[in-house]
Amino acid sequence: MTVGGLKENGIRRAEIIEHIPLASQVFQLKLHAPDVAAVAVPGQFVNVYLNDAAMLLPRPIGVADATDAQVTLIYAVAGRGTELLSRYASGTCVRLLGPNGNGYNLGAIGAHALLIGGGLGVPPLLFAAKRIRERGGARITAVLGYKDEPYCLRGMKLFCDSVYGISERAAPVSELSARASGTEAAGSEPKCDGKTGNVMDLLTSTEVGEELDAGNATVLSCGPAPMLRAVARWAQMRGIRAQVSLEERMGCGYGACVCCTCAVKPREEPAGGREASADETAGRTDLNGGIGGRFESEGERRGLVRRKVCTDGPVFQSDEIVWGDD
Amino acid sequence: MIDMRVDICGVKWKNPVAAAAGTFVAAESGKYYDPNLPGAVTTKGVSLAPWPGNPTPRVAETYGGMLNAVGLENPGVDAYISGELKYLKERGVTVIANVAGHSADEYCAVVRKLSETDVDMLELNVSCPNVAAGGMAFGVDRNAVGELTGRVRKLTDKPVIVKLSPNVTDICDIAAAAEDAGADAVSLINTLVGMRIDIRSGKPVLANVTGGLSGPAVKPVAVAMVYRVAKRVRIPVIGMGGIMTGADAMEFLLAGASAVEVGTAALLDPNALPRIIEELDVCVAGRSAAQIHGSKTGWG
Repeated sequence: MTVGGLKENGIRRAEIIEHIPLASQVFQLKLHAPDVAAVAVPGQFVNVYLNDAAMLLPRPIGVADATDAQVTLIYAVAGRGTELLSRYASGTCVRLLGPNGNGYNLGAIGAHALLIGGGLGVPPLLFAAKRIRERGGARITAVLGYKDEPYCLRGMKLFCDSVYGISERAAPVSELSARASGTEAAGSEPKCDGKTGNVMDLLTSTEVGEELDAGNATVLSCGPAPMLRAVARWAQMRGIRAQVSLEERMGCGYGACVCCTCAVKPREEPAGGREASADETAGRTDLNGGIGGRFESEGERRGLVRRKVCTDGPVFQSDEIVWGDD
Repeated sequence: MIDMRVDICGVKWKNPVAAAAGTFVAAESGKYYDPNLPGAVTTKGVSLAPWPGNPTPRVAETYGGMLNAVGLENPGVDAYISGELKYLKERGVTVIANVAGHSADEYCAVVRKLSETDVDMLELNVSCPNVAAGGMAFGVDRNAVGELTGRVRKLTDKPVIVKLSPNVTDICDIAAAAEDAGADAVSLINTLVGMRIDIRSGKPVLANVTGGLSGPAVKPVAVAMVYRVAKRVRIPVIGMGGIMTGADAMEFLLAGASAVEVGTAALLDPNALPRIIEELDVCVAGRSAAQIHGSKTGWG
């Protein structure tokens, strides 16, 4: 804390060290941000603010790597703001807030880590793969889907025991799949298999099925909502625990505006449970209290328990979430 | 640091800058600054029962501003009293509770419960553009504002602020109706109704279709409305709308506001409030109270 109660964890300036295209409309941004790099964990994101008074909202971008005082972000041009960002050259400073949100719980991973990513959900999983490899003790399989050209495959091959990639169109899948084991992974060339499709096609394929150690597997997933829903269902049917990173349109990105909430299932009160203290409940958007803590119907109860994606997530246990068509 | 204390309806604020409703959450904002630093904090609109809010997306960017359509998602007044309010009052924070309802009876029920707490002030939200019933439906009708304010006035000894909508023919008439019915102060402006359409999908960007526009883009509208209302009513006016800097806050004071609320700026920078208070300190240095509250001394 500084004088006057201003805490030293707000927005800071970060210089762009490297800014390169990875695929069509997909860019990798490396920033000098020692404070953020020191503490960021996979699944967290940072707010990037543009140097333009007309575009005020932060762009929340998942951390793809954090090392040696540098933070790597990978993003796609999705509108005017990210288009402007993509034109910032090395040496330009942007403002950053973060890291924000709760990342993946890597401590909960068993003997087999199954990383399932779609599009821009892949970069945060690249960071997860790296950290899981550093921790050791788990075999890592990555199952990755893209709309067009793939990216982050080379990095994934460095850290994973097996990498499966698939694209919905354009890029031939033959370019995507890299299957190898142990130290061969780093150097091996992608293996051809000549199919197109999505992540679920890969996930339900014989090859992935043969690798799966369902009894010891933990799924970490990141990608578009329909994919996450399908992954959650797939994991649930096999009794596999899945941590999913949700995406939602954010306003502030730090929990104040309550724009990015999602519906979650009410937590069962533990028998003889204690009451949460005011410190624990202050500011939470847990709507589970109700009047006298009771709701008329289960549907009402479910709809009323909401969590903020930015600060309560973005990573949730998949069985916590009330998915769209549940 | 010069003395910036103000008295708003008998409540002492240590400076004339408050956090605006819907942009301050103790557990989150408090990670960045001490909630005791602003003159007051206005907590998010609270209703009798929990409200789930609107579907997402609830936010969209606009030139120099943003649209939101959160729809007053909140845990209900009971959870508010035992959670957010308790937490803030234990820390000595001056708290304004923003009160929402679908009907006059609901507003009154919330006010009754809050009257039994140590909350410092009440702000009647008759101006939220993002809820189907209540909110702005009251705020655009001077009779409805008058009746609701009058009913609430009889229920509580707490100072009552009525938060006004800019989406009206003449905001001065609504402000006067609130004053005549016993309001202790008015705050303005809530957000302007706005809309964005994604030309690729051909659909509205917000799930709620329309939302409330805030941010620096609305500031001149807000300053003009504060100026006109401050000339019309005798009760204190709390100004807000796109305040990003101390100089912006100063404009509102010069327009006749006794204090200001800061909202969108805090969403764009969690440390905006402490920064704006420091900047305002520089702006007011060397001016007399009469010089600061310009319109009260008469322009135009």
